[in-house]
Amino acid sequence: MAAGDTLLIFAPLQNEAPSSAYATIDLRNLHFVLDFDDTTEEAAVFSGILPRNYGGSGITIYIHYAMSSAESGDVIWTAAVERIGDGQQDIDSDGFASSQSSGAITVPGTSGLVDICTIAFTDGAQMDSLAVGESFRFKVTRDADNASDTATGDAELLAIEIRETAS
Amino acid sequence: MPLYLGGKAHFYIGESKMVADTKKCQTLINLCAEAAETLESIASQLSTYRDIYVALSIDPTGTALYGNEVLVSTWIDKVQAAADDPVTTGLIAAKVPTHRAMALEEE
Repeated sequence: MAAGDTLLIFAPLQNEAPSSAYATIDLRNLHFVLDFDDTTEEAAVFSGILPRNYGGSGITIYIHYAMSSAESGDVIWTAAVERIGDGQQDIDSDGFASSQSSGAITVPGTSGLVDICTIAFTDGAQMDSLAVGESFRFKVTRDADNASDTATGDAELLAIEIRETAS
Repeated sequence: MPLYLGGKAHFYIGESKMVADTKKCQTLINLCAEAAETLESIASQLSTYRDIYVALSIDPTGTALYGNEVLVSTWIDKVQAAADDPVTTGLIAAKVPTHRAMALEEE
């Protein structure tokens, strides 16, 4: 029923930064961005509730990013879901499911241009078995220490859209 | 595509967890560029001080400069030449400010 629908949107100022190795907030021409280092894996974390119109087709996240200066090379993003749910996750600890990867994405040829790449999660284990109406956290990481992430300089996250995967 | 293993651990097989060579190269470039910027600054400073020294007609008698003024001036010229070298300016131009120059420390 909701396949293809936008479920949630996250912006840089909604980041609930991890205690270490976190993406840092920055401004680019008054656009808030989160800077992800090119050598050390850094992450940003967002909280949400899976909307009631989710129909069980899995989710696809759309990562809107630009590069600080790179105009060549590839970047790799990974993302993971942590189901908090109803009596599922003790929030004194973290419980993210396995990360899913975007694979190597060629960065735009102009550093200020925004590219949109996707990561798909199938319903179930990849989404940490998250169900509608349950709260969750969503962690986005630049896979900076992956040999296939070759673009130098920061990657700047502008926005994330979570859609139900279109069937 | 990497093979993702089950459970909540973040590990997978099939991709090399190693910083790309492009970033290791950029680290060396950035470190050299920082030194090149320092060299440019020092060369400019030395030339300025030499001009001041010459303008004041200072007597070097009794100092380490006595009899060595030409040698020191030639050395300053060499520093300036190194600062003006295309390699120096090229390294500075190739610096990526947001790269933290840590990629060689990962090894």
